[in-house]
Amino acid sequence: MLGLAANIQSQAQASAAVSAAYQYPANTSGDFDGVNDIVICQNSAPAGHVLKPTGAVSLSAHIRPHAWDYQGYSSSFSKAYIAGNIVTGGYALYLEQDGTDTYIKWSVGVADDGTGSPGYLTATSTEPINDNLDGPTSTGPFRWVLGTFDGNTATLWFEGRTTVYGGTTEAGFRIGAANYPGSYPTTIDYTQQGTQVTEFAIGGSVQHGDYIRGNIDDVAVWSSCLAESEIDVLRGVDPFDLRRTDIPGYNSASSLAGFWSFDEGQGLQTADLVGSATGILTNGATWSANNPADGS
Amino acid sequence: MAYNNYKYVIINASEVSDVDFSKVKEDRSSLRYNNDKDKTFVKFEGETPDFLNGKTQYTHKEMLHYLNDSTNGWLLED
Repeated sequence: MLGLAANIQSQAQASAAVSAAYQYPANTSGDFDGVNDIVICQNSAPAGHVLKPTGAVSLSAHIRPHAWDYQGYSSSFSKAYIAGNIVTGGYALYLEQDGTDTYIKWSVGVADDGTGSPGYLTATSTEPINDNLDGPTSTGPFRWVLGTFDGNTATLWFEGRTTVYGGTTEAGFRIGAANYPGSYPTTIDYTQQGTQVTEFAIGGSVQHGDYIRGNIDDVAVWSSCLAESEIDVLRGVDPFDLRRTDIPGYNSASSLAGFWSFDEGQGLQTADLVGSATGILTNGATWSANNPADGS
Repeated sequence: MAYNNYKYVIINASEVSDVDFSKVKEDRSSLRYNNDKDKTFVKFEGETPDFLNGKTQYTHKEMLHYLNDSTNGWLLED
């Protein structure tokens, strides 16, 4: 753990060198316009990159999406990406609209979807999350969303919901799962991405667009499937900061592959505090004073 | 929400060479094009750059409405 902490600290220092404005806790988040704002994480496209694990993956973020239909132009909205590298294969957390309802989804491209061919496992929220979406002027809370995949099951977790899962009422967190129906484990598939640009991105998809409107903060990728015990611990961390070394029981930091805290609050970069995939604020993506810690 | 101060201008793809990218939020490589690849747009804050004078400016709300109207040809099929 200490070696890991030192490594994270070292990486943080390196990242700080990239973004001299970095200061913790600056308590800012990313601000996205839903038109073309996106944060593209540098050099994260090649196969074998740490953000392209094949056996298991977890992806989390704090999100405060603004309502899609608040001014009556919802009819053509379909999808808005929170983060990921999905093109053909890959993985992503996103919002998807069905009529007047918005669902949250976690898709993982797998080498075999049970039919012997590549496909996707998609975990969908068991009910719409409309009431978790911010309005045009109100200041709704951030929510923590997490997708995990262990080689068999893609599971979606979303803070703030009380749902029935597996026949039991849970404390409002795990809200959907998709099981691989074949002989498992299967692997996360990137092979079909070919020459397409498949950098890890936040706020939209490099290839598809599908930009989100709202705030995103504290995006993290692990090259492992977080265990429920680890998730329970992380849920209780306030403020949410994966660089903290005083989080009891947290033992997945060795698999932490990328972490963007959006705490710089100025400039055009948000550092990857674990790796080297610096996030480049593109097309006008900027900063918001809103953050999960203050509830705004 | 900084984007409430943005102004968006749709231009023809053939006009990209006239864009002073130091005056807009986009880079040449990050422009979003419509499905026919013959239109794109740029956004800016504050004073209108000279090369955009005389062109229709849209608010954030108007631009979202335009882009998400499937009849306008900007939505991609995943």
